[in-house]
Amino acid sequence: MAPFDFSTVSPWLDGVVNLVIGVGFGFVLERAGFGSSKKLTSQFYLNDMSVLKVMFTAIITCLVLVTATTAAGVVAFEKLWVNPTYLASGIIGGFIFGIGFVIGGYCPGTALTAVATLKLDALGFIVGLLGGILTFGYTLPSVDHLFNDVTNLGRFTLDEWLGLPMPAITVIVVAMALGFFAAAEAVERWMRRRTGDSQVSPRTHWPRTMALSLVGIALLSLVLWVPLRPLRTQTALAAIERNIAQLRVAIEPDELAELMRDRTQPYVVFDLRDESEFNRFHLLDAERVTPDALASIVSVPAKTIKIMIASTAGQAVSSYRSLASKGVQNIYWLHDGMNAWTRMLIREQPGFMLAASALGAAQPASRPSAHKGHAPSANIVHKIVRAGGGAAKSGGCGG
Amino acid sequence: MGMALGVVLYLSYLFTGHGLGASGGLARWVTALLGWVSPRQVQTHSFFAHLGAGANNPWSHWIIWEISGVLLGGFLSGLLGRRVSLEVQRGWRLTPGVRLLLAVVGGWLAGWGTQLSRGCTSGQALSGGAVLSVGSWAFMFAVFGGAYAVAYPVRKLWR
Repeated sequence: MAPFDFSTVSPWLDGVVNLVIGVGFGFVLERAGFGSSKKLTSQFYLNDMSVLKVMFTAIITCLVLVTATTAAGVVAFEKLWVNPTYLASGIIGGFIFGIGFVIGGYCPGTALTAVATLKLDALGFIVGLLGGILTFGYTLPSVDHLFNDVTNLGRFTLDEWLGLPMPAITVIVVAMALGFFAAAEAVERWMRRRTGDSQVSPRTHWPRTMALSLVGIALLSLVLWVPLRPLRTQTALAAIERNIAQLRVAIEPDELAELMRDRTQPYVVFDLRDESEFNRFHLLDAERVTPDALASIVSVPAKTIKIMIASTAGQAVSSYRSLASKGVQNIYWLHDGMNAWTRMLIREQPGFMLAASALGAAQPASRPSAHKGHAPSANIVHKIVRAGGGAAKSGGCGG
Repeated sequence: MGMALGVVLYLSYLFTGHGLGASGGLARWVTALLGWVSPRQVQTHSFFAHLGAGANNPWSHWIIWEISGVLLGGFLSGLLGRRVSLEVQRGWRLTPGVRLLLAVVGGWLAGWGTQLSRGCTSGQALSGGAVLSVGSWAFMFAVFGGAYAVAYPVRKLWR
């Protein structure tokens, strides 16, 4: 099931895929005329609304394709990287960005294509961008309260916000975009009449058949959304069983130790073992829950990595199956539980023994730092998929 | 062209799981350049450390490949359309020198803004908008808001 992840096959293949996609992106931007700051800024003087039209056409085309393939169970939408929502910093940053766009004449992607066709002003813009990014790196401490404030809503999509099924939102967005196009073309005609401006490009009429087919696919996805639910569920359940059978979500203790040392990745550890076992020895910050109560844990953010430590393999599998089928994301279990953790410590510190008394997390072995420096990090098998696409991936711009 | 762009964006989601981007790649260029000048600066500032200290190599990220492709694709399209020419695109009132200075100033503001908003028109507005991110839509309207707010006062730059 898509999305495919070539980085698990070979990082080079993944690189080449991204390169080819980048070529397509740059080609289309340049072809649309966006390698010219004069064309781009025309948008803001209402002479030529191509920027708005091309951008919204691209958004609704992609959105309709994503919606249709999600409805059909071909694409797992929850596996696609969705830019996390940070309202305050996004809006303030966007406003400043917009001002820079008008003064500088480009945005980052279009400036790259313009540099490729030797536009020197775009080179100046890129130099400015690099300077602005460098400045941000140094000023981050003073804007950190804004950068990481309470309006951080994580992965938050319009359908979740409005409580409507995804295809309904798609239909609304497509209709809204078509409305924008009609308005934009009316404004262009008005400007042409008013100014007789020769800079106004001749109208490439937005093809009606294309518009109708997008609306048609969006409506079809909406109508078939509920009837296709069993198919989607079936595909999702098959993926869960594959994860179990191929131990894709059973992580090794070395990877867990690495995760515990990584301060940038939020994670939680749920310990499903008996109270007595838990009290004798458990991992630092592990939370003890009974397998029955585990299902009620929905308050943990989707992108937080959830690690289960079970007393038996059967318990781990059944807990995983029940959580995953409820749509809980990013769940893993420690392969062979605390036995594996102890084996790792013995491997690294021959003669290691757990203290006999019940020390809980006070056991030195609770901490990954107990064996820091010994971990053969090159040999770690990475199974955890970081927020977004493939392992250790992040999304687009912000990094 | 918009539809072609949408298809490229969709293929990106399909084959990589993420959308397109630009400013994230430039942030990695900055980190790599800073690392050459002074590795210490990269290690001691959380923003750069996150992108390029320790196990994080600023060059080993999909977006580096992707923006290299953008340069290549832009060049190919320009070549086919005979638009590859050394020039300074500017409003008729401006001298090339003033235009270049303003390009740097605008780029500076935009660059600072992209990092605060965690993305630019490509990675945030276009990509996030197509997968219905609430924050991306808010960003998109904010960009148009900022741009239209200053377009009239600075109209002599372009008109």
